Amino acid sequence: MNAGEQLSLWGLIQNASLLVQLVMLLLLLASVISWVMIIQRGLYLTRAKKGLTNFERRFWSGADLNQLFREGNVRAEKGKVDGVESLFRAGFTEFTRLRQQGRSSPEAVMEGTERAMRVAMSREQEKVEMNLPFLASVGSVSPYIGLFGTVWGIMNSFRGLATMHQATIATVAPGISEALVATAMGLFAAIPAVMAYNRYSAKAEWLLSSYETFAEEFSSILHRKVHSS
Amino acid sequence: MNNASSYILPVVASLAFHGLLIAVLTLGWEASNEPQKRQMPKFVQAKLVTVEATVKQKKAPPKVDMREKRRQQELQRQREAEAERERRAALERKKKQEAEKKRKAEAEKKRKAAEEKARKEKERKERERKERLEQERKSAFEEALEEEEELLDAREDAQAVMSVAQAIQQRIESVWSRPPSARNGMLTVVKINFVPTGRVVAANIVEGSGNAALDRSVLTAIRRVETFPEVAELAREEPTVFEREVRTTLLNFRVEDLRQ
Repeated sequence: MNAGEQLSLWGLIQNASLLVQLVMLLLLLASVISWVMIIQRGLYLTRAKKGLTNFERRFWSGADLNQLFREGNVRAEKGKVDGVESLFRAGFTEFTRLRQQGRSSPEAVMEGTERAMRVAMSREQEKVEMNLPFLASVGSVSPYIGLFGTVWGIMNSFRGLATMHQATIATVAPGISEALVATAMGLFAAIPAVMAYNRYSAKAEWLLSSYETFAEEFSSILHRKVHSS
Repeated sequence: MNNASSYILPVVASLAFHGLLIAVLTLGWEASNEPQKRQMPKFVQAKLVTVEATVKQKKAPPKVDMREKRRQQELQRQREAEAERERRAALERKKKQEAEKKRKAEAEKKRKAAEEKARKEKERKERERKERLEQERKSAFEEALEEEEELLDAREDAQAVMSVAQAIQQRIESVWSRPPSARNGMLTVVKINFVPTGRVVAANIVEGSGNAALDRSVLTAIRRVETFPEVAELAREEPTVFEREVRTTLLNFRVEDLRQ
């Protein structure tokens, strides 16, 4: 039973050298943080997508733009306006403000509105793509960190073997096994991170292009409004 | 504020997920693997204890000899003492009777001498008979002893050869790495030539397993061991047995315990 106890996961981790233990700790931390990012991003992107479809449905249902703007007022005060709605609000605020000044030409009004929407757009882009670089670096680096721990552990294990008289598989096997735990942890951290990064960056790209399309469409509506009046 | 609160749920979920994973790994790991221990064939170096008895028996004949010698010495001493006594008596008588009884004394002496001679003869004969008897007995005994010893020697030799062969086989098998194409039940018979230092001078496949890689792996293992201290010891202690039995050894290598 002693051998079995030694071969348990905790035994392997406890018997590992300090460096390998540090590597394992680092990888565990990376895994925990990357999972935090994965869940947070997943929730955010789902919510953003839902918000986009909801807002577009309301926008294209032919409702009055002033009415739409006023509906969002309460939420805007709490700072809970997100995604495409904030784009709309930025553009519409700028548009009404410029129109009320009255002196500006239609071209100047359109230009100001588009600029405001571009700013809002870049702010949204920042929000959507937040934390994705972290997932990418966990995905690409943690296998190497794990590999480093493994190589170090195996190196030590073979160095211990050199002083033995009779080299059997039993003298190296525990060392290699404990070293391989590091690689396993590296892969464990990396695989979800890479998958999440690929999925979320595709989703973010789709979202941003939707925002852009919406901005174009909204500015064409405003353009019509400016020139008709 | 909005940003921070959106992280609470993910953090809790992630920590719970990792905790669960670690718990499952620690609990599930230990139950699964009980290390299996394979019983290694034990190589026993047995020696016949009855050799002790033959050694004792061997010592017995000299003891008999000693006793015999002692008895002979005793006899001789007795004889000498007797002769001395006789001579002294004769001298006394001679002194007493001097010349006039010289003839008589001479006759007496002659008779005595004859008597002595006869007795000596008799004694000699007796002794010879005894010696012959003893010798016969001894030779019969020795013959039997020799026969037994030969038998014991042969048995001992066979055992020594067996144990050496076993040791050689074990030594080779401990470094023998079988190729992945090997299958259980494959048998390779190898002829190995040794020199008295225990070094292998030639190893040849006598009967291949049909798998060239396996045959090669056996030869590689033999080459890797190269020197067998057991063989060297045997050659030093019993050169004849080495020449007769071990110089050219046939060994069987069977693939048995592969998991497939």
